[in-house]
Formats: sequence, structure tokens, C-alpha cells
Amino acid sequence: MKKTILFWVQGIRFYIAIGIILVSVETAWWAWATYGRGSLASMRIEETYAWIAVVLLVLALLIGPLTKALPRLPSKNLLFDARRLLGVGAAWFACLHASIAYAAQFKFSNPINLPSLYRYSFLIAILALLVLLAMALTSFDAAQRFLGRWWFRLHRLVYAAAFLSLLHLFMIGTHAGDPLALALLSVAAVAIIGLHIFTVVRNRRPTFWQIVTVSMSLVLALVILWYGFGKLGQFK
Amino acid sequence: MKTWLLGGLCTLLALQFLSASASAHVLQENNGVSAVLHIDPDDNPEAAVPTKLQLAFGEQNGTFSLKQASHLRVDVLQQGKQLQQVPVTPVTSDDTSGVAVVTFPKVGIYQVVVSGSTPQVPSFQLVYTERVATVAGATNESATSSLQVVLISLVSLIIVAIVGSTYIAQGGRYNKTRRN
Repeated sequence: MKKTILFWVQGIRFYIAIGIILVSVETAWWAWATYGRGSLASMRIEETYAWIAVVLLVLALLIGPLTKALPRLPSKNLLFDARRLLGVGAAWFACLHASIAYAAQFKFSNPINLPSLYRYSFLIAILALLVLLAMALTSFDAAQRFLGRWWFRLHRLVYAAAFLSLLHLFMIGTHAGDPLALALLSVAAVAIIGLHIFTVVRNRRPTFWQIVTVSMSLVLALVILWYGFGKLGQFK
Repeated sequence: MKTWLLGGLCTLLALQFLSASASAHVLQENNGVSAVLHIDPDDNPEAAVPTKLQLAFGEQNGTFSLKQASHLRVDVLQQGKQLQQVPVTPVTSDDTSGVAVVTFPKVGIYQVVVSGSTPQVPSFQLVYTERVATVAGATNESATSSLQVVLISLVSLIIVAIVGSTYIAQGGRYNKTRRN
């Protein structure tokens, strides 16, 4: 028992999990302290959760190509260990965001009756959330052993989840048209794509999946730049 | 070849969905007509300045069309007393989204009532309750308590980081070589 506790306490995942719980509670506390207990507070909570989910997803996506591009990177093992909990955190915050938005803002409304933009956006978000949840639920060693190569295939879907999340964000996200948000998302996309391209170019015989990943990332960047710049300053 | 097909499909999907734009927020439904209201800026209206209300409409068993809707207007009420009435102006690029500009005279609770009719629905009335908590240009009273919460939160996260780094360093698990 003591050995198990020590194992967890000496690993990065334990502290990321504590951080996730703390941030979840503190976000709600901050919103209630700032906006009272009204609908604006619930909006701020779900918006903040959504942005945290995006940040965690970006961090999780960066670790793989970063460690491949820089093989001598210090704390590489720590980053690998952290990646799994960052993904779980993204799924957790995405789940909270969806639950609060659907309950507090959309009042459990039938999605079919929603305005068309929201209907499509919800569908996209549900797909992204399902991928994130599937990944979160299989993000432990026993699941990895049990699923074998299918585990890696499932976890490759993270790129699809990121792409769908961005679509959802740009379609109905309140602050997605802000210059700062656009700049940060563009930098994140460029960093992820840049590292992937660097890895693929360095490797003389890239695999099919590597090419697919780079292509998807490029599509993602095109979407961000094209749509994002079109939306610049439209919504506040 | 497969890769290019996949990329092309994704681009087409993005092009289709990204042609419209709106912002998220509160939904109300009545007689099969629904509308999502977003208040510019930031869903946090201020008193004494013009406030833009953005509405995205939907309709049961059919697509809502602003061109076909009639008597579409926004009423601002406080304690049952009507303060303003303004028409909903269509957003040029989208036949399901409209805009109305209203001014909340002072801090308080208001009812924003969106009403009108469509070819299928003789009348609908969507009621949103809006709390106007600040006057334009005034300082926010809750800023201090908000800052306190942020500071406490930051301190708690820093403590977790310090404790974590100490225990992780003691364990030395990440000094060992692992898979690439």
C-alpha cells in the first residue's frame, strides 16, 4: 500500500490530477465571486473550461513531435508521463464545458430544434468529445496492453478531435475572433505542424501515418488562418 | 493518394461549416421557434450605452427565415414596464441571424422579449432575463474579490507544483531511460 502511494506521489500524473481538480473548483469560485450566481457566471465557467480543454489538448499534442524533433530534450520521460494526464484533463474539461452549456444555457433543449449553426456545431463537438472520452477511458497501461495496436490507432484520433474542436470553437465560440486568441491558436498550430514537418523531413522514409498527420495539421492551420482572420474582431 | 483525399475531404468539410458565424449563449424556445441570444460585448451588458443583441433563430420542422418572418422585434421591459421597442435587423450574410441595438438605461434586471411570427407559427415570444450590473466606464466592485480568488488559486497551484517537484526529484523515476 505504502509502495503504491509512494509510486503515485513520486510521479507527475498525480500532481497534474490535483491541478486539474483545483483549477476546476477555482474557476467556478472565481466566476461566482466575479459575476454572482446568475447565468453569466455559468457562461464564464463553461467558456473557461472550454479554453482550458483547448490548452491541455495543445500541450498534449506538442509533446510527441517535440520529443521526436529534440531527442536530447531534458525531462523527456517526465513529458511522456505527463502527456496522458494532459489528455485526460482535456477530456474532463471538455465534458464539464458541454454539460454546463447544455444544462444552463440550452436548458436540455432538443438539439434538432436548435438554430442550424448550433446544430452542426453541437454535432461536431459531440464527435470531438466522444474521441476525447474514448482516449481518456483507455489511457491506462492495462487498456494499452489489451488493445495492442488498436490503442495507438485510437489515440491517433486526437488529431481529428483537435480539428473538430477548433471547428466547433470557431463556429460558436465567443472569444475565438479575438486577436490574442487567434494569435495563440495560430502559434500553437504552427508549432505542432512545424515540429511534425521537421520530423517527417528528417526521416528519409516517413510512414503513411506520419504523412497523414502532417497533412491533417496543415489542413488545421489553413482553417485557422483562413477562418480566423475572416472573423477577426467580429465578436467580443 | 489516400492522404490527399483525406486532406481534401477535411478542407471541404471545413469550407462548408465555416461559412456562417455567430456566438454562443442563452437559448429560449416558444411555439416551436427558438433563438440563441448573444450580447455584445462579452454577454455582460453595461448601462447607459448602446448594446448589440445578436440573435440566431431556429424553427421546429423547418428552417427559420428572417425574410419570411414578420413583426420581428425586441422589447426591453423592467418590472413589466416597456422601456424600448426596436426591430430585429437581418445580418446580411445569414437569413437566420439578426441584430437589435438597445440601451439599458441603468443598472438592474431587465426582460428582453423577442417576438414575431413566421408562416408556420402565428406568434412566438421569447423572454430573456438580463442582469445589467455595471455602468459604462465605472469600476467593477467585484474586481477585488475576483483578484483575491485568482491570487489564492495561483498560490495553491504553486504549492502543488513545489511539493510535486520535490517528491518527483526524490523519487528519481524520470532519470531512468525509457522508450522514445
